[in-house]
Amino acid sequence: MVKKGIALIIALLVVFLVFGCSKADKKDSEQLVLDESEGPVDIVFWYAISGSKGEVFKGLVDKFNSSQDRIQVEGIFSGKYAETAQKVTAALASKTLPNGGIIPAGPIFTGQYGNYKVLDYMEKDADFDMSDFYDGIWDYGKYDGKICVIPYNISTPVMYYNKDLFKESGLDPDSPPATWDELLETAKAITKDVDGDGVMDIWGYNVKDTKWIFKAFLMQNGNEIIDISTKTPLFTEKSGIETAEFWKKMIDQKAMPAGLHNIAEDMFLGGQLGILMASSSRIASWMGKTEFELAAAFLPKGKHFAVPIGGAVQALFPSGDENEDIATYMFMKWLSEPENLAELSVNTGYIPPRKAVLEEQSVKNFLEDSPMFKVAFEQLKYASSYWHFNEMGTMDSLIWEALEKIEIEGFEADAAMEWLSNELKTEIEANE
Amino acid sequence: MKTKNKLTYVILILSLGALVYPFIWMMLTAFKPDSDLYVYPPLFLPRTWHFENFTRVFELIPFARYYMNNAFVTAIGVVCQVGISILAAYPLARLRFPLKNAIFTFVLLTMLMPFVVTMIPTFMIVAEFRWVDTYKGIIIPLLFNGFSIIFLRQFFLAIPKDLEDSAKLDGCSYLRILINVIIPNTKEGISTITLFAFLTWWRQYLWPLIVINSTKIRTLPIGLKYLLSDGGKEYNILMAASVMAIIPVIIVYMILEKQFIKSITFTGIKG
Amino acid sequence: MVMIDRLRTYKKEEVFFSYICVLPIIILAVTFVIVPLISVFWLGFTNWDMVTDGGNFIGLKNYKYLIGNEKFQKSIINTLFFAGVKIPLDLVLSLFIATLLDKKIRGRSFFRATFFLPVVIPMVAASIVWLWLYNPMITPLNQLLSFFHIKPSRWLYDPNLSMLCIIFFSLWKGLGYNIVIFLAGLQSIPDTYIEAARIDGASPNKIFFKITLPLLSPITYFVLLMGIIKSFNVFTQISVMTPEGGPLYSTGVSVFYIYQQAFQNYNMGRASAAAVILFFMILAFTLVQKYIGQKNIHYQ
Repeated sequence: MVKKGIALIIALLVVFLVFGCSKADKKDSEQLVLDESEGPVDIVFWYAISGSKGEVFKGLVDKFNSSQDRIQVEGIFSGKYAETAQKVTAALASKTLPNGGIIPAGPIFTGQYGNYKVLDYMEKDADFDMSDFYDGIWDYGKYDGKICVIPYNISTPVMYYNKDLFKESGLDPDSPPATWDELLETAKAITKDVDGDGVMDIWGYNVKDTKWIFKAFLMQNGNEIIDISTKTPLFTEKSGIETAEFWKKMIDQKAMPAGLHNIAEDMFLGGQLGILMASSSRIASWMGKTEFELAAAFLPKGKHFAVPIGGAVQALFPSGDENEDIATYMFMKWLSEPENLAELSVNTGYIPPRKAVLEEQSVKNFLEDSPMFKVAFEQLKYASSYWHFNEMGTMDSLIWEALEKIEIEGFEADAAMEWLSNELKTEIEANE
Repeated sequence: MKTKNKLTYVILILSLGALVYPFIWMMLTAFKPDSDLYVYPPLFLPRTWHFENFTRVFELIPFARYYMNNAFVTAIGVVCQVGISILAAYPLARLRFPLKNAIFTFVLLTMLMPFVVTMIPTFMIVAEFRWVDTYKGIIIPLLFNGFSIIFLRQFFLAIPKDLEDSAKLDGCSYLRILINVIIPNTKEGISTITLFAFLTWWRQYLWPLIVINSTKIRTLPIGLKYLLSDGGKEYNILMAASVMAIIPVIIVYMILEKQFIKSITFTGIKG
Repeated sequence: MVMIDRLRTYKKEEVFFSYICVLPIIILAVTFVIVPLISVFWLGFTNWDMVTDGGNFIGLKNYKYLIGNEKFQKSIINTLFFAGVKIPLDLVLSLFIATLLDKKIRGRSFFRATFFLPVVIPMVAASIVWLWLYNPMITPLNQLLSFFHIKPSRWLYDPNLSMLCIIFFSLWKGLGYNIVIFLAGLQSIPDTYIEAARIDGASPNKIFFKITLPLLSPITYFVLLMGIIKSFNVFTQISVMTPEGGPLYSTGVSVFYIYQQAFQNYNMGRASAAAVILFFMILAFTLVQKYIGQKNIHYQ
């Protein structure tokens, strides 16, 4: 009996020591050990990246598979962002999720359902340097204030401009507008009615990815869009109304055409638009292919520089098998290594989410050769994001509607922001 | 009569341009290099003919594999769908049995709910059957097609009763009547619905995307979607692949079109 | 008594054969269509989050929300407008062209193939071309207008015109479908009927309205029925050509609204409730059409 009792105490002590130790020393990477007794672990990983950019990602998966023999990743293209959202939704409902994936709005599909597993792993893993990622980037991967995904292929809005049109309008093509006022004046100088039929044929300024750009302007004016902890919209604050007023001024003073955002890209490529604000992901497609001399610059500053973050994230879906989850995490960690992120960035133009990537020689060379990417990459230091929340999609479509009210229906800025704020509040309340 | 025919030609030829134009545009785009795509207004003719777009398709996706998968799914899907639709349409059109109207209404009701919402519950059922990522999972849930059942029923309804009656007098069974009388007399209807079924199956996109995971059984439309980068405008490769993808559709159309004409000349119904 | 009498008139063999024939579609429909359809009815009363089984019952909250929602109301009006303009135009135009193509003319199969071409062209390719045609900054349409000194229009980007632009595109894209159906119908009309009328000295117009049209009525009924169902379910071209639902939501139709609720706002319960409302709307229209149809369809 006594012997048994002692054995039990010793056993308990050992258990306590082992776990106690690992608790005291959280950064013990030994905990994330892959069980290889049953051969290599197979995992399934979806990705919403297509075309030549998708090829780059596929190449990374192959590289990972051939670099080691413990984990085999099957990469599966899951459609574009919108379709991936449908595929993930269906898989979530029927519990047929893959091990992980590069998906849009990742936190909605993970954190919302209490899945913060990737954060657990990152905290346990001494090798994973979370501090190397930009703070704004981590916010983009949060739900309810807690990290639940690893941001991956990031883009931010960039100001593209047509140097030829600048010259024709007597503007200096090497000094693009750097403030809101300059933006207004520059754009006004470019807008022209060439054939005199009362309809403008060349416009100074237009935006694509409109909702996103409007958020950029809000942020530049010191507006935080939404108080995420209480889910209170902040559009009606003075900074929000000022932003909307500036937007209205751009329309009223013929710097920007009303309601033509969906053709902004066509206008720009056709040489009918001086300045276009759009995602940095376009740089790779346009560079060296336009008929005019193309250049890119930071978004002009309001009270300060600011841009919102966009793009997809790496999500981990717990499979019920700890070993598979660890393997998935190891693959995600591998994707996040500076060297591999550098390969993605250099070949696609996506902005790396962590600082160490910029130290990679390949990236340095790349930025030297293509100054337009330099703009996008450097701008990341001003990038920030709010945490993901359920009504995010609703908020975006409401922003679009509010801008239409200003542009097409002639709403005053404060009335439009009032409307936007009230609608969003109603939506949030309806879901509670 | 003569002037009337002339008017017919004028109307037909005028509509022609509008109808063919996008098709030609698509063909020409398939031959444009990237740089020709960023010119506005778009170029009609490529500045240099760029045949590499076609080979690029094969580099980007396992085109032949997807093509075969698509052909397989389409063949099975079309044959089964048209087969069970003919079977169902016959009694619904020409036989008497209890609950006939109820069943017809039921078929109609199934068509009223948009797929966007039934998709997720349907997928949950398929997952319950463990059919995710299988050919079964792609094909079977889509075999029931209210459109083709109602379509065939309408055609079966239009057959003159005396044809059927004489067969009945000869002592034919119902199955015999279906095979010997109904089907031969509605060839136009059946080839039309086959054409429609072919089109639908060949281009099936959203459902296969949701159900299929592995490259092994992936179908062509999903592959086509992969060819265009997110937000990109490099349509040339997509168009090259689309041109290759619609060739079978045109061939099937031409075969079935011949079928129309053959049946007409054989029976001597129409000049 | 009447019921029993009616039952007695059924032939056992006929009934048995009929049930065997419809069995496959019944099994398939129940499993893959009816069960999901019923679950959509249920989900309409919940705020299902896609993970919890069945979701939480919230009564009529979704319906109350929808009825009071401006955007939803707009989507219903847009859907009715689309159906109301497109269906009659589609019917008349396709029947007209089908009768032209049914004539003995040179190059008939060439013309038929051409009219079918837009149906074959992938939606992406078609909409890219039409987006260009509708581009107010460069469109050849506007150049044409300026030739007649008409002020250029904003087409797809004008809230008053956008839906008409979509309707015109849809007509162009889908006309070939109905033409093929009508052609098949026209060709299954036995020539003897028309020949007999011609010998009696009836004019071509009279033959068309008194013989062809009545004989074609089951097909016309079908085209109309499908026209209703398809119009109320229109989605793809809307989402491709006007990704935000058009200026001032002027092209945001019901299914587009449902899609936004389900996959952009992740609100499956509300999307389901909207789908149920749409379901009953289409049902009402098909019933009205069936009622009218029963009076006017002639079977041989």
